Order: sequence, then structure tokens, then C-alpha cells
Amino acid sequence: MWRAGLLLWLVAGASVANSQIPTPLKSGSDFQPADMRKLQADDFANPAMLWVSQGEQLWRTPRGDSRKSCADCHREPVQAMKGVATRYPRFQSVAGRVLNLEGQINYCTTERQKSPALAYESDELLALTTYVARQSHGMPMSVNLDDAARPVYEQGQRLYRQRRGQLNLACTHCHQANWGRQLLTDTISQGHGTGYPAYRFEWQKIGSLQRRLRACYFGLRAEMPAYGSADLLALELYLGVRAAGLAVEAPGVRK
Amino acid sequence: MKSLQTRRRRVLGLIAGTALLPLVAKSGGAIIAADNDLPALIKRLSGNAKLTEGGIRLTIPELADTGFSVPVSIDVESAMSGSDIVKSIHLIAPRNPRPLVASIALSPLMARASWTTRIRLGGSQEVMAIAVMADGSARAGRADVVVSISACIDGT
Amino acid sequence: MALARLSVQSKARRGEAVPVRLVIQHPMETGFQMDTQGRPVAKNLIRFVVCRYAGREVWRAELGSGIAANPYVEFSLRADMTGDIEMNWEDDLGEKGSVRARLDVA
Repeated sequence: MWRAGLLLWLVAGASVANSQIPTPLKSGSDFQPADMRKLQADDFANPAMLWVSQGEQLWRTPRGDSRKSCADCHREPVQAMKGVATRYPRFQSVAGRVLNLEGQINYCTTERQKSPALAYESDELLALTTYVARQSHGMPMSVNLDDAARPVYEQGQRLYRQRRGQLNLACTHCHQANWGRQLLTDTISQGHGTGYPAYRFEWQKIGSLQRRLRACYFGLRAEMPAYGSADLLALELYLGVRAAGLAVEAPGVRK
Repeated sequence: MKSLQTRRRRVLGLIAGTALLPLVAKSGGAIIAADNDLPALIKRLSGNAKLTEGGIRLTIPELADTGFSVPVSIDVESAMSGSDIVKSIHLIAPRNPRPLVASIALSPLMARASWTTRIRLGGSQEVMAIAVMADGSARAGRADVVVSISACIDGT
Repeated sequence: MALARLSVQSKARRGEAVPVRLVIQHPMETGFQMDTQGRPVAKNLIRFVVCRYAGREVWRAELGSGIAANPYVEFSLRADMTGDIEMNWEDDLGEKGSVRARLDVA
């Protein structure tokens, strides 16, 4: 309860800014303690790199009835996957819907490899997602908002501004109006997803952006949307557009 | 509501896992207490030798960002050759449900009597390292750590 | 799948202190946690890790629940002969893992 009180006090005492995008854009790691930033920058000690290694192995492993591996279609992952993560979520015309990176990987898994979809938050899906995202490390986000994706984007924007949960707060109250301020020993971030999948110490493993979004719902004492739900996908797309120009830093390291 | 309650239980479970609250004693007191005889543990690890302070350094942040993973280094002053050899080092976090974090037997193949890892801390406490030397003597190093917790509860 | 990463230089001069780093993918389940359905998660810790260099034991660590998930270890050994640096471990479920790297000493 005292945490709820702290949040309410903080929000009541601050005016809600109307601007759409925080300026200047700051990455999630900019708000992390020095130890987390150091770990994220250390390609060996960053524990998330274990999943990058696992993803690299899975990339070459044949799966499903097709007996094909990712590498059979996308020969040179470092080249073929370079910049891919900067463009997701996106409307994928073959699939006829907006897909995030996990959705695209599972689209390939089911349609191309003829294998059952990988479960959200399974080590396999996290490993492949992280491995693909890693190939865009340092590249600026450039999600293309075409007509087909726009309704999903607008849904995400609406959700981002909508109050929810027992704390009755919207994403904007923390990540738009109060970023940079303190909540206990945490510094409130701008709420970008560019470090995900990220290794979060609270999870003691790597997790997807959707897991992080669900954690925010939980923190607000709101009902958490299911993994892969329309709401979380819409928020992901909104966040992707909102972070335009910010460098992909996946896999990040977070408290 | 039901799902929120089970998640709350999970959050409490997470906390119990690192023994942040006195609550823990109610749910798992017997198990935890069994391992919690600190003087006996120290006696056993040091082989009954009298502990001398100094000659060993415990490097750990004064303020840990999270109790889930705290970087810690143990460095013992030793040539690691001839008779000046560290036989074993032990790391103890007295407020953890299981205070003995690690016991490491060293050999002279080490360049230095130094070992670094990342540990869980169930709350603010004085962490302790013991080094047992080849001559049977034992040294103790201590460091106070304040462990901060996250402002937002994560029940995922 | 026991996955681990080992960082060590490939060449060293005799007598040189060689830094070694190890990360193992493992949840280090304490046995004190519940899953999202409120069921207890069984304890599963890496019980021990042994480091060998050219067949000789460098250190042997017994680990407890106080070691962070995905264990990280850093130390230095004294290069004295060409050989493999090898890590072996086993967890509570009996799952074994190992990782090795060659060190050439001139």
C-alpha cells in the first residue's frame, strides 16, 4: 500500500505533459544503475548473451516436418537479420496482420518449418528473438507506419494514455510526465522497449517486451493481458514508433 | 482476483526465497532455522581455528541495486606458492535462508587467491568471507551491504 | 541443454596470470519460490563446479542457493603448460555440464 501511496502522491504532485514523445529520447539503460549498464556493455558477462548463444545454435537446428533450419532460408544471419529488429512490429502482408519479432519467428516456425509454434517466454522463442534482435544492435528504430498498421498503432496509443488498475494510472503518468524522477531507488524511464528481450534481475532470466509490459499492468494492479494479445501487440507497435531513431540495445540488462 | 492472489503469493514466494521479511519465519521457520546456527557453521568452516581479521578483502557494493545478483570478490593476501597457500575460501550471508553461499577449495595453480562471483542477498546485512590457510590458521573479512528493492512489484 | 560460455585467451607466456571467466545458463532454483499458479518450484541448484587445467584441479566450488541465477565466476590461473581449461558441473537433477578452452603456453 505504501508504494501505491507513493505513486499517487508523485502523480498528484506533477502535471501531465501533453507532448507525445519525450525529448531528448533516452534509452532504458540510461536510467539503470552503473552496474547494470556495465554488464549490458560487457558482451561476455551480460547474462542475456547466453540466450544469444542458444539462439545461434537454434538458428542452425532443423525443426518441424520441413526438416528446415532458419539458416536454410536465411543463410547468413548476421547479414540477413541486420536491421530487421528496427522494423518490428510491422504489418506482414503474407500473414495479413501485424507481427512483432516473436510473431514473425513463430510465423516462420509454423508456416515454413511446419513445426508447432514456440510458446511465449520459452527459452527457445526468447533465444531466437534475442539472437535476431542482437543483429540490429546499435541501429536506430525505424518502424514503418503504413495504412495497414495504423489502426493497431492508434489502438496502442489509446492504451498508452488510458488509466487502468487500482492505481488508476496510464503509461503516460510515469513514462511521459515523470521520467527521470525517483521512485525509491529506481529512476523512472521513458518506457522504451529497445532493450528487449532483456535480462531482468527481478526475473533472474531474460524476458520479452510483453513480459515487461505485463509487469507494468501488474504494478498498477490491473488485469494483465495475455501474451500475444491484441492489446500488448498494439502497445508494442506504438512503442516502436514512439522510439523512432533510438538505437536497439537488445539484449539489455535491467534491475 | 483469484489470479492476482496467486500472483501475490508468488511475489511473497520470491521474497521468501531471499528472506526479506520476518514473515518468512512463519512459513518456513523450521527449515531455515536448521541451517542458521551461524557460530557452528563458522566453526565448522574454519576448522575451529581462531579467526583473525585482515589479510582478506571482501569487495561488494555498499548499496546493492537488487538482492537478486550482487557482484562480490574475495581476495586473500597470499603468494599461492610454498607454504603461503590458501586452502579454501567460504562466503557467508547470515540473513539468507541458507547462509553458506559458496565454499571453494583452491590450489596453487591459481595466480592469486581471488575468486569473483554474483550472489543473492535476502536483505541488507554484513556479508562475511573466511579464508583457511595451509598452516591451519583462518582469516575473516566482512562488508556491510544495503540491499534496495524495486519500487514496482513485478508479479509476472 | 546445458549451455555455458567460457572466456580465456588462447595463448600465454609461462608464468603469466591468465584471467578466466565463466557463465552457466541455470535458474539456480532455491526451492523457496512459487510459480505463477502458486505451486512450489522444486529446488534445483548447481551443486558444484570443478575447474581443471591440463588435467589438474585448480579449484572446486560447492554452491548454495545464495549464488545468483546463471552463475558467473571470474578468477586467474598461472600459465605453466599447454593444456585445456575445463569446467565441469552437476545440478540437483543430476544434469551434468562442461565447457573447455585450450590454452597454448610458450
